[in-house]
Amino acid sequence: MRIDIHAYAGHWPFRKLPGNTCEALLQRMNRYGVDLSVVGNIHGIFYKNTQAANEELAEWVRPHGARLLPFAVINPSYAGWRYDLDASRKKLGMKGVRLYPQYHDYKPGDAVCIECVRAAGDLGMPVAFSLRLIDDRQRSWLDIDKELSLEEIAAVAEAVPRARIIVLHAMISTRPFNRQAADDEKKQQQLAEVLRKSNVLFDTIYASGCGVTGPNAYDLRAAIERYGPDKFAFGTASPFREYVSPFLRLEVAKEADAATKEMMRSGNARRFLQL
Amino acid sequence: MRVSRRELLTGTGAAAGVALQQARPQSAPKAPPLDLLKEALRYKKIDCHCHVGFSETKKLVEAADRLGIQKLVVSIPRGAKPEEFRASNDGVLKAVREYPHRLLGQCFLNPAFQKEAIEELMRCVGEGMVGPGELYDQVKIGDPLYYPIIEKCIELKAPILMHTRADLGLLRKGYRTAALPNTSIPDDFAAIGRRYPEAIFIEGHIGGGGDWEWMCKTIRDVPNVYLDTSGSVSDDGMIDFAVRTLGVERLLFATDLNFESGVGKILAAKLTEQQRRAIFYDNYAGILERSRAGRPRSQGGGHAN
Repeated sequence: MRIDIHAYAGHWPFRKLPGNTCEALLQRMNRYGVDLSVVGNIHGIFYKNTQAANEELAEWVRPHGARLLPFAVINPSYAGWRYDLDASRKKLGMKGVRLYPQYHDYKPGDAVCIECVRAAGDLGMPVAFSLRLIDDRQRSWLDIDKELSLEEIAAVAEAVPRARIIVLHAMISTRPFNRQAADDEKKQQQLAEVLRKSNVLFDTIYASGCGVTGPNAYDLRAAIERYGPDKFAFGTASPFREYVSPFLRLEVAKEADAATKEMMRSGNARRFLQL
Repeated sequence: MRVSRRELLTGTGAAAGVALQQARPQSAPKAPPLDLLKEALRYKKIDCHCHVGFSETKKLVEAADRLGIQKLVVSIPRGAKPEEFRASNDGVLKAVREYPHRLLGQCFLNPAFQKEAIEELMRCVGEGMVGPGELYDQVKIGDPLYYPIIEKCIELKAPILMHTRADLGLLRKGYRTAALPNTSIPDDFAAIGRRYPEAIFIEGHIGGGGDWEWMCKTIRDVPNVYLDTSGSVSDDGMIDFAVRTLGVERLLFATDLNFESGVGKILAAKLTEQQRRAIFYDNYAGILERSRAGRPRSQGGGHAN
């Protein structure tokens, strides 16, 4: 079984995304052997009232309910978010929440965000943060240039210990994206200590299984040693990123045994999503 | 129109997507999943933009093995002063001697030291390197300091690989960028390509983090500027767009140490079997075949066999 914890549908305003419908996602899933995908609506990043995007997504996934697990986009800095969260869970059937502090202009550590994470937990919903959506070097002049850090995610995890937090576009390093500065090992260890104890799940978008990494990647073997094999789950970032590399990243990881690979393919996601 | 089983499974061929949609309702049982690693290993590959000196060379070669990359063209793009860039190139030569059947060298130069740079180019080519690369951000590719080096490469028919960025902050004023001001942008390649139409320029990493649509559109009408497919960005549709804009013959497979996404982005693109082979291997092999630079075949391995 294989579960993709990181997929989207909808339009991105700055570039045409091929295959950005639920139907196209299902075609990819069928072609490459993905059983379930967690999907969010990109429009929710840009609508002020994100609930309209959640309603759209509920319509899109309805014919494919068994294969697509919808996550609502909630903006806790906007009016009525508690109502939207509740309605997303109870009326629209959303399985989790995606938060975009950098796009909705608040900080993960803001009281309102912490409150939202707590409220989602009360409804049995995991919360996903995306460290970035695209590489900011290629951004549009209308797009933002802010990215979240793992430190910010760790602070949320410490503030709401029972929360289940999914980290998308996860760069497992204290080194920010695109910066060449050497990692501070002590800082890394402190961060790892917090995240290892927390209920977090990282996607494998930037994991390298072959033992050699470029600038925007981390060594999967070292990351598993540091954080534990229960912390990683297969993700594709479709349709932003192409669909093939995420498979290769895990398949070439010879150092990971069959049980660890199975955890990354589906076991960790099943546990986290309570499937 | 007939679609083969392989085309159907891999999505190659123009009709494959349509055929899939027609053949199977969305919730129908799935076809057996494609073994993507097996698919990756099926293609012979030359990585025309890679590096030694960032990890153990043995590890690099082992990583290439996992993705079925037979040959890697490597450089160490470090060293502002002549003694420094010579040392980098010595490091490359050492690695190539260690793995003569797997690695080909590229020499790093700083053209601000013009005499020394040309001497170093000739020394490195004499040692079997294929040409200059990955030239970096000390001097823009269009700077007259590069002219004698480019002219020497024309004589040798040697490809010139250079780091490129198309960050918003380099393309438009007033936006932040971490790149240095002398970093070459696609517009620099278009200009130098037009000035020297007989030279072979390789614009580094379509996925190097910049605006790849800008990159492709800028060099569209400059046929002697090739684009390598490396970089950490593996946006869906990126390679398809490059093929549509530049033609498949101007794309050269590369990883710049991003092995999985380097291979994955080519497999994910909607390409024919022949187009995949061209990008993975044939296009760059053809450049090396025509070149007078590079390791003599008698010394083991040849260019790209």
